[in-house]
Amino acid sequence: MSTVTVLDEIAELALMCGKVTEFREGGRRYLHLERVSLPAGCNPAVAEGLLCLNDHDGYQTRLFLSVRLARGPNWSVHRILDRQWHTWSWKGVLPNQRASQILAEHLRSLR
Amino acid sequence: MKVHLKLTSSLLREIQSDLRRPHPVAFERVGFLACRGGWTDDGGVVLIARQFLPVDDVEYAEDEHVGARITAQAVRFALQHAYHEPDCMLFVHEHAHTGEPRPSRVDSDCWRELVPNFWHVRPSLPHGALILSEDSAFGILWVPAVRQPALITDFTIVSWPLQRWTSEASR
Amino acid sequence: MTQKSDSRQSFLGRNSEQTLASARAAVVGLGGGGSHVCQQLAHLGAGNFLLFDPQRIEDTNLNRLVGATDDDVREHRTKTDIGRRMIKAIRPCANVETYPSHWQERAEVLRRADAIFGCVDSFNERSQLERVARRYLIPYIDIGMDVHRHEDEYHVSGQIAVSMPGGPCLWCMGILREDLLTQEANNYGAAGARQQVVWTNGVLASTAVGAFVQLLTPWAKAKPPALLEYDANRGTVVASNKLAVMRETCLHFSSPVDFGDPFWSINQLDRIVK
Repeated sequence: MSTVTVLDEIAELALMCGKVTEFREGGRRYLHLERVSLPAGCNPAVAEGLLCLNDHDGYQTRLFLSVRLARGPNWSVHRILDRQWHTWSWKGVLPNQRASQILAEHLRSLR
Repeated sequence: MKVHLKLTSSLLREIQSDLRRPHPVAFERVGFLACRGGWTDDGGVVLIARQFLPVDDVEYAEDEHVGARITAQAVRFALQHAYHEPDCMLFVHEHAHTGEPRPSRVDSDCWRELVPNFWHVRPSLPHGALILSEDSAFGILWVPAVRQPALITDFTIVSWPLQRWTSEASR
Repeated sequence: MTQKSDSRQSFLGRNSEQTLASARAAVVGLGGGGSHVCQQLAHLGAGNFLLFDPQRIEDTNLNRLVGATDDDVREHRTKTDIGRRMIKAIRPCANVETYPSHWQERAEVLRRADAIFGCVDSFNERSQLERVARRYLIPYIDIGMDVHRHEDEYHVSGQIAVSMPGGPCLWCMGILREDLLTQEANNYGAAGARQQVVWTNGVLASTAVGAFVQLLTPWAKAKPPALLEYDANRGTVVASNKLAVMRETCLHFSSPVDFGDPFWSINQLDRIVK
């Protein structure tokens, strides 16, 4: 299982999400995504995202958003990188994929 | 604007122990304090000092008229740090007395010349200066787009016990 | 700012009244533990409170929520309002700011705190709170209680942990572990309806407040242990034997960059400056 995010993966994400910045906190690596286009019908349509590619409290990967949506089960609020983030309960998105695929799988759960 | 500077007692000891070392040609030593920070919800700033950057012995130039004169290389080193790290930079030195220090004309002139350089490399953050004394401090912060500089109003040395004080100059 | 008093607590030091009056204490969680903490801080003369709790009182809280009344239950009042009322009744001059929301939604307020009391049920909340505290060099005082059944007896225990910047953290102390966070996450973050009673909460809260006072007005030479363990069955509060094997410096928060707001920029100034 690879935990290395290579530069081309970040560049690939940047094409989708605008500026991508890598952060670390509490031993975890996060990719801050400036603009995540959310699935059709979501309100708002775009939000900031924080993609955690490491195990996060029992989730193998996790996507946090700057807003809480009406879709998706069991939303919770978290404080990461000293900002407020929202996420929903969606497990099983494996880390051994490209970061863009991980992002896509999390977003697919919101359709 | 309220500005609160916090640092650990271990970092303060590190700073003081460097600044108090004698130098062959300079009357006093100086350095740079790299800080992270954030806005408070009431429109103030909290600064968290995280790293002290001393000025190397060789980067002091002889000058009888001032306490310390540092070379362009010393400034470049500090600028390089600010370029690579998103830190608010405070130029720091010490006055050897107790009680709250006050800047001299030389101090103010030095800051006016030095501090704006940091906005060339890190324009998105405030930068400033700090004077320590044996038991107190004076600090000033320039926030881009805010005309008047802000005095550092509150200081906390994080240790057992917590040491907190409010600047007299800011009252 | 301070009320005149007989100062039966003058042993705390000459300037203790002023020190406590100027202190800013954040209390996150205003249930059984947090309400006790608020009451004691108010009696001590703490001058500034930042209170966080998203909940409203229910009748099941009455057995332990200090300051709450039957009328509060009928009116379904917020725990922050109850806390504020109690503090102001004891110290009318105290500044009490209330945030009846999840603290994560108003965490910028915590940046002004001199100390944070974590009186929350969830391990995840503790972990997040401690991270914020470490970012801003804020001492974090955590209390927790547990009731469990073993064979035919109930065991009641708890801990008071003081997480000081640079010192051992809740992970160092074993209070936070990945398996606990994972288990909690598997329950969708619900800590469950933990059993609590007022007297055990009182012991934990009192000890936590004692640590806060020691932090500000060191009336005793020795600093209190970073981790105290409470055994309600034996009636003891003792320094944890984990301290003997704990490192004095923390390895979990050792990064030199995890301070402040990672997104801090003057571009945010327009939104912040009122």
